[in-house]
Amino acid sequence: MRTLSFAVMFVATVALADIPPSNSSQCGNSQAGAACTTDDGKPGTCLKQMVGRLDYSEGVPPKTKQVEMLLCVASVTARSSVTNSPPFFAAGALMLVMLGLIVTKLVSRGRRSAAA
Amino acid sequence: MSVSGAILAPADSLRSAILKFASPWVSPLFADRQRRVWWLGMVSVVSAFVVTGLVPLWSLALGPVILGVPHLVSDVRYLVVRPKLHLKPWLLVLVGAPLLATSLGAGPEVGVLAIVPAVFGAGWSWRLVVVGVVWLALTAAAYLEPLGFQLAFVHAHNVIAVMLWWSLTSRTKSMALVPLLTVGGGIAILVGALDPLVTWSGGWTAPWTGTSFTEFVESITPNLDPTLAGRLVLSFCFLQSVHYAVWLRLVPDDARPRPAPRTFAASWDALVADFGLAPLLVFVALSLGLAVWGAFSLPGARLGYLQLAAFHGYLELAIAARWFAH
Repeated sequence: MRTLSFAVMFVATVALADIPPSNSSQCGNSQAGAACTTDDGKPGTCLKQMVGRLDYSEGVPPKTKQVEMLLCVASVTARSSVTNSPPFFAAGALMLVMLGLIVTKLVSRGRRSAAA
Repeated sequence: MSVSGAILAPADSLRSAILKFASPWVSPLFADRQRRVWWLGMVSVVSAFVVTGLVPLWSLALGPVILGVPHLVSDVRYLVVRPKLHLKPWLLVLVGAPLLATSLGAGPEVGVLAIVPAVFGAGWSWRLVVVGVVWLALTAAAYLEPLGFQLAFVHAHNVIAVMLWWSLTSRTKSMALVPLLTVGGGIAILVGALDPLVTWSGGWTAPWTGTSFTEFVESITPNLDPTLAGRLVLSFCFLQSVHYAVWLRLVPDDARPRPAPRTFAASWDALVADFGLAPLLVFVALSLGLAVWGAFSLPGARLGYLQLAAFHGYLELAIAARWFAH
């Protein structure tokens, strides 16, 4: 139940807006046939599937239309080579290094100005 | 003349020429700081509303890529550097650690942990008790419903910036119109006031941005009534624009020691005085890098920036708590 949105408390009885289709997140930037990991952690392959999604192109309320998407389909033979979020980790690590440098610089400047 | 002065001289000359030409009309608007901040605030909020109605997806896609890093710099400058909090090493480490952890993927309960060391040193008072209760409530919410908390915080942190500015500025009745107009604009969007304008402008789609309303609904307003979810995306777009205006225009104008506007070269020199040249060049490189990344992949650049910026909402929250407790 941890994934239940706070909003459900307020609009529990109305139709709910879309959430990303299951098993779609890891295939977003991949090509058909790429290795992936399903939402429940099983190795799989990105395959084209038809899914229903909300379509806001004509405004609100949105219509629902069937679109072709790459979804991660569990496969016994496929071996996942996808890690959880390497770009995010890389971005965070980069920021850590840069902020460390900046903080060091600021502290040394502060000490210099305090000494002066 | 310095290198930066030489580079910025043409821009300053152009601005000077425009101001000289328009002086009879615009002088009264610029001369007085309070009046200047007021009308800049009103124009910023109205512009944000109109832009949201005309090109919401472009605003959502380009805003973080172009204005994201400069607004983070302003955030750190006015919340940390100017109050000289960076000269308190224990504060820097204890507040900075949870903030950095959030940029490395830690949960929201870690982000709100920054509130605790931020209020160290505040005398015992009812304000400190309020901060403690709020922190406990936020931690419980973040722990029990991390996704819901993060979604709510993504929307709410835009408003925190307006509150921080309000605590800095001259709180006159006319100045109160800026936050009131912001709240009014948000409510108007939620009840559908902008829907016809977005439909008229064709703003519900913008294929060149590489994104869609559906994707924004799925990422920042999931599990809601579809109509309300779409309008919440519009409201987020509006408040995000106001958030940028607050950090890039209103707070700098209010916090400037000299009431009169200054040249671009003087603004750069003031930035160098606050941060030092090397960190500033890193910020400039980061901004340009993000812009180049955006030219190749706008959604990718936006997501990259959002991960980098994950800390700043919690920084604003922690400093707001510090100001309140002190």
